[in-house]
Amino acid sequence: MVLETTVPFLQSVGPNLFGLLYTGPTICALIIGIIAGAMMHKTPTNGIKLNTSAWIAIIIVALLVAFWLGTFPYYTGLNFGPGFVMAIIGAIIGRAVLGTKIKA
Amino acid sequence: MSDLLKLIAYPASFLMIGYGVMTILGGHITPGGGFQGGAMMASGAILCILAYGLKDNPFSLSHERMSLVESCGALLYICLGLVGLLAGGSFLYNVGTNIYGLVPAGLQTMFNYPDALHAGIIPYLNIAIGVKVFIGLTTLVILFYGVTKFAGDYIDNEEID
Repeated sequence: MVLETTVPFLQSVGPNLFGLLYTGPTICALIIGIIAGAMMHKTPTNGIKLNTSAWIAIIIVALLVAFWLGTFPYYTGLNFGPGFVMAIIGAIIGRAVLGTKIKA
Repeated sequence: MSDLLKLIAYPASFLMIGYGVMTILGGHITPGGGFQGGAMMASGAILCILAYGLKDNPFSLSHERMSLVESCGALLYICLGLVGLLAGGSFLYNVGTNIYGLVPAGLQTMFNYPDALHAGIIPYLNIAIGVKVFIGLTTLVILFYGVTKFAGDYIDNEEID
């Protein structure tokens, strides 16, 4: 009963935010990104150590690529690839929260 | 590998993962899907394995974590199939679109994927397959990479001569 009332309400509110963004694929992108980020090490390895500026550079490049991708694959009003950006943000969050620590 | 490749590989792997996820999520309306997107995600991990090696790899390639994620992908696929079996009478019946009107309205609404074309459970299947392929292909490369360590055991120059 609860599902039959709440799910249609959420889907009526959520699917197409102001005609710009489909929230379902965006949330799914975040979840898959978190799963991928959880497969990474939280602490830097011997091979690589990224500082704050490197993470900011990654996000800026992701935003540029998402802008160049345009509305693909959901042709909404937002000229932006939200799935791409949310996947990368999810990977960064997943790495920070669920990533493994390497024992020194 | 060179320092330049090491500098680029890890940030580039994030972009590859992003492309892979985007391919997975658009699999029901554009070319691509779970396998292709999962392979693109795996290419990010594979690039890091090739650049940094297995030991210094920024990806956590433990058996427990990989088996957990891959099993979750397979279980999600089977569960979606069983939902179709129980509600619609056939395995992998698309309860989200409910072509033959066999599924209760609440269940149909719950599995309806909120996007442009309302593809039902197809995007969820793509996600399950993508996660499984991501881990599966990464595991294959780890195995191949590990085997090369013992390449000398398999090549006996004296026998060949």
